Amino acid sequence: MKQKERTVPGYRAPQPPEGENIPLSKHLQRNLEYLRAASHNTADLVIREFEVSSVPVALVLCEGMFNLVALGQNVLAPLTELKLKRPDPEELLEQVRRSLVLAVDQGEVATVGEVFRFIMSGFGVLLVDGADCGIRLALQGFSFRSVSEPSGEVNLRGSREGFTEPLRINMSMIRRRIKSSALRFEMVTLGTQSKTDAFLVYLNGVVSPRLLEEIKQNLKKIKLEQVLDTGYLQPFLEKRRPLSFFSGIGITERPDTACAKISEGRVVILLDGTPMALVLPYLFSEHFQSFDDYALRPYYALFILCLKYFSFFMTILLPGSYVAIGTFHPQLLPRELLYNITASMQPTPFSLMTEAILIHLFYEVMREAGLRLPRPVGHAVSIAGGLVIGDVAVKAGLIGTPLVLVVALTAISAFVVPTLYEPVTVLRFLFILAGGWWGLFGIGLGFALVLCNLCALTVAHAPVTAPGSPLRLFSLRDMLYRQSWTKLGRRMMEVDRVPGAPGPQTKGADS
Amino acid sequence: MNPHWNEKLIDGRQLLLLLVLGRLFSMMTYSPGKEAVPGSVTLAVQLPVLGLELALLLPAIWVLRHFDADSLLGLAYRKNALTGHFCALLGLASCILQAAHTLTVQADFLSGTIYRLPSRTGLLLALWAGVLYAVWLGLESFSRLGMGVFLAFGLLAAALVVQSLPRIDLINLHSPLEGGLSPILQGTLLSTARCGELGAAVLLFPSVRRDAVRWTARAAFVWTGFTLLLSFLTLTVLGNFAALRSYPVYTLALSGSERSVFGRLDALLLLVWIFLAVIRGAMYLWLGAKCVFLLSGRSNLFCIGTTGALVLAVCALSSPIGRGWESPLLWGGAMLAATAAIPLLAGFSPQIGRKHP
Amino acid sequence: MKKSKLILCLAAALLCCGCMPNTQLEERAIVQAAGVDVSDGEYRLTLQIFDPGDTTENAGGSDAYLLVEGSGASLTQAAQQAAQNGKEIYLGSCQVLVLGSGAAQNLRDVLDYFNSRPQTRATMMVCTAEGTAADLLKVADGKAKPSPAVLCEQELRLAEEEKRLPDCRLIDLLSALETDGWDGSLPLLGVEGRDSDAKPVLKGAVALRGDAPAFELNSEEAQLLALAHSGRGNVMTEMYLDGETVVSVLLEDFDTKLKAELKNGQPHFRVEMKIKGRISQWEGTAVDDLSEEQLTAAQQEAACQTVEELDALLQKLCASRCDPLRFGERLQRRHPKDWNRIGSQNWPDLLPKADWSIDVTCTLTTFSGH
Repeated sequence: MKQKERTVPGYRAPQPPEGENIPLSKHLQRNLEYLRAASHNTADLVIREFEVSSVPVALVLCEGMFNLVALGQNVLAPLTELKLKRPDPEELLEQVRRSLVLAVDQGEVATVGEVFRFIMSGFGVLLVDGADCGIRLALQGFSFRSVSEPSGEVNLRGSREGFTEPLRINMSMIRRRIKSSALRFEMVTLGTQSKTDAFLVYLNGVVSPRLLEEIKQNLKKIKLEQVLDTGYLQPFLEKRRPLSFFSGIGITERPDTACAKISEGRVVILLDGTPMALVLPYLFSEHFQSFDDYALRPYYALFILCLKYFSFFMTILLPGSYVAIGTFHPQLLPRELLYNITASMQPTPFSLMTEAILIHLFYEVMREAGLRLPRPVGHAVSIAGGLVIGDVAVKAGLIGTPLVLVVALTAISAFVVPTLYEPVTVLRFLFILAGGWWGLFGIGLGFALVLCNLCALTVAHAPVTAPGSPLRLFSLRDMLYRQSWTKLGRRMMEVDRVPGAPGPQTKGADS
Repeated sequence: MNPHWNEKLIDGRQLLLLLVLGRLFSMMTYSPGKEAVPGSVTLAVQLPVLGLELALLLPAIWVLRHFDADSLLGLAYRKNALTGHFCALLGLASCILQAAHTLTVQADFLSGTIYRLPSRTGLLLALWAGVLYAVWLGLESFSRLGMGVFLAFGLLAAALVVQSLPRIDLINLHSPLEGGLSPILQGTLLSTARCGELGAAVLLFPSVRRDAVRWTARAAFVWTGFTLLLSFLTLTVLGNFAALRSYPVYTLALSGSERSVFGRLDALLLLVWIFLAVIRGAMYLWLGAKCVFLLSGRSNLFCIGTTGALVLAVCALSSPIGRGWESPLLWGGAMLAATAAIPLLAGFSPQIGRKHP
Repeated sequence: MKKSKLILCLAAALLCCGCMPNTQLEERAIVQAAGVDVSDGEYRLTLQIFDPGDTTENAGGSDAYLLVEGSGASLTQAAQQAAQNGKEIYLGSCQVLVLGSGAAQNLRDVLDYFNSRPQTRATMMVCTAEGTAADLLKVADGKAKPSPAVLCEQELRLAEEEKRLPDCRLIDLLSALETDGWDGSLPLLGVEGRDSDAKPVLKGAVALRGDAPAFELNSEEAQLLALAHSGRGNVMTEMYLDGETVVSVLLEDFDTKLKAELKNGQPHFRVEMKIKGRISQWEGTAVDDLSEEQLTAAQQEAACQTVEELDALLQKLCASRCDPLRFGERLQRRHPKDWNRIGSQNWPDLLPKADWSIDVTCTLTTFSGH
């Protein structure tokens, strides 16, 4: 259904900045005036006017974005020393185009909008009086966070490098790992105001053309002023139906993980300004894999995999099941445990369900507070939290002791699969409600529906639950257990051909 | 989510899982105390029943091959609209009965045995809403779910076997011929009537990508294997105690030692059973909605909503019917009739007028 | 919009079902053991209930318990009276059901009541008390640690594992009651010791006829009855070889085959038992120095002794028209036509006329394995 655009007071629809498509004129002063006016005399606009062989020129830059040394040595020095046989704009442009190498990345710009885009990306633009175009010169020299170990995906083995904010550095990190001519970076610009650069990274000949086309189409639909993180793109790339807690798009900040995904025919989207790359399609089983699994010995990788699946189901279902069993089905508890739980429940005023919701809520509040606060204060929060939940709440008769164990187990196991933290947290509360209201029936029905919803989820026409269901036994070598590289390396997975996905297609993105 | 009524949505393996899980659900509701024939007879007739089930599929297979069609209802519509409508109505009626039976049985079990509630209405409504959501998500969603559920059921059955092995007492097996031939015939009929999945298979054929018939036959072997195993266990372990309880497979799971892990199999069985109910209910409701689509050509929402409302109405009516509703001859008989009648009608009715779109 | 409305309707339907009536754990009276006595048509229910204590600090652990009683014309009424402060009686953790002699007379009613409770475990142990069930559960005046429930259960479980008792679970008794040609039996517990040392001890078993007690078996007879169903047990027996040499034998492994048939309208039973055992002591000779002849003599004597014991047991059972060895069921299974001819009602009356043949083979080794 086509959505009607409504006007809401206090809100406006995203619009591109006005007057940016105006072409540059031949009069330098008019161009400069227009640039100043269009930028509303912004303080970081630097315009340096000088003459080259008596031809008036101007260098337009953005404060803090360029490298001063490179500017002096590579641009200003050659230009000031330049002697033209015929001092006119055409001759100057011809010299700059053919003879002078002022920067590695050098080209021409024709509109005001382009001038702004380039100078704001760290380029310098040379405007020549009498020429209706400018020369862009790559002089980037802004400061950025250096390459460091990714904080969200720490691994024991493998590289210590993580993506960082500038796009070009991330690009180089992927290129260094796949030195193949088939690896292609395709640039798109997103955001009407922010004009953020993004790269689609894929292996030509391996990626499915349909997938690539679909992604490009979806990116074209983005109507946002600012694109500050890959999270902004995610809803545009996902299917709108069915609504689900889970997503078919993965996130990684490790270049080695990104390369592994690219080699399986996936598309990685790098966005300028964020170290989080999007991977799509991302199958559900991949949440349980980490780069370590492929570096460690297979038997241990299998053990870790089992542990992750177990933790995932435990963290979702344990509190709900505890409430359901305690409230409706105590016969399932071993006798001694039942006695202990009953004794611990005796002084508490609330029902088991209320207690469980309260304590999980406390825990989430403390987690959130600890996460956002400065690190030293964060420690204080965790100490206070430990005291409140662990001891005082029990002594105050607010909750029973076994529930503390449950919340601790649940909280810890949630971090075993960090990429699923969001759905897991919400589902946990829903299952506590279901268990408290309807007992094991609620848990069973809820779990069936959540799984049904997960099974209905497709990404790029492939079911996210593949290759577990629909099943392909051969594919389990990389999902249920991890085969040795001697066997695993013989055949690479093609993600667009998992069971349940449409049949084979002709490969190649250029078609 | 668009159910794509006429698309090939699932593969043969998923068809097998759907059918087997559906059949396992009806097996769990089997209660020797309420049946007219003793458990030993039910156990003995399983192999003849398998033959009968495969034979019942033959007309459908022959008609599909002969007319080079993949859908019996589509073929009926191709012949003439009247036959098409009649066949779709027959399919709808039997699917609604099966779906309603699934929901009521599950709600009865939960309200009677697990929660001891005076009324099953709340549970029934919750289950109905859940099943409707699963149908809304489409055939692929719940057929994909089947893989995990089948695995869980397999593990559970293995645990049941391990738990029951030391307590198997062959003295509980009686000769099936004790009561003469009549209980055997009756048992064969009842066991076949329990198998609405034959009809479901025939209606699901057009949605299966390849080898639908072969996978249906395999499904029949698999469910017969499970039925034999679980009937044997309940009979030999529980003996006549099985007749005292309404749900012997559940009682079997319940009879593990309180101190062992196996003492908690009943909870796992309960969970798996709910999954089975959702899958079976959703399968029949989806098929019913497909029949409504063929009859009306309306939107997904209309088809699913109408079928859901009809199922709820039948569930409401099943209370006054009382014990008669428990007889497989009522809810299963309709499906058997549909399994037999639809191929014959589709195959042998005359071609009249232009082909139905 | 229509789709979101549908989802809203479904969610509303789910929520409208509301919360199911539930009972919090602290509102349940968790029964650890139940005792039933019947006198003059009135049921008296004695429940040992877990006492959770008042606060977390002095929560009593699993040893703390209370004894509550209630009586009424039916068990339901008695249970209602016994329920404390409106707490709900919860039987899911009930370990033992003790029946006083009066209650054993109304076995079917009592078992049906417990079987129909939602949480009752089919594997709950059922036994009968020498006096009243209340006396057995009040052993040591409510101060016993571990509690009477635990003591009774330990005693019964140990006896069951060592095959000193036929199976005594609720499921076995109910199956026996439901099956033609099978009479159950109940373990018999009595109190031994005084005051705080008093504890429940297995005294034997009560053989049932249909749903009523028929006669008492002493502990040796109860053990033989259990072993006649096959299994591993420990029967220590002393024999006098040639009337003077005392030989101690431990019989361990019993493999029994029971058959029943009808001969000339009368039941005929066949008992084939293979026993494996070990000689533990031989008066005047080191066990390892025994000759083949001595071993053979001991085996024959052990077999003879078992035959005599079995014969005595069968005589007692048949005279009392009890069939705990399930001969009737075996006849029904093997010879259904014969069974139909007799009619299941008449089977107990035929039992006193039954004859039997007993064949016992005993294989003995010495402890060192010769």
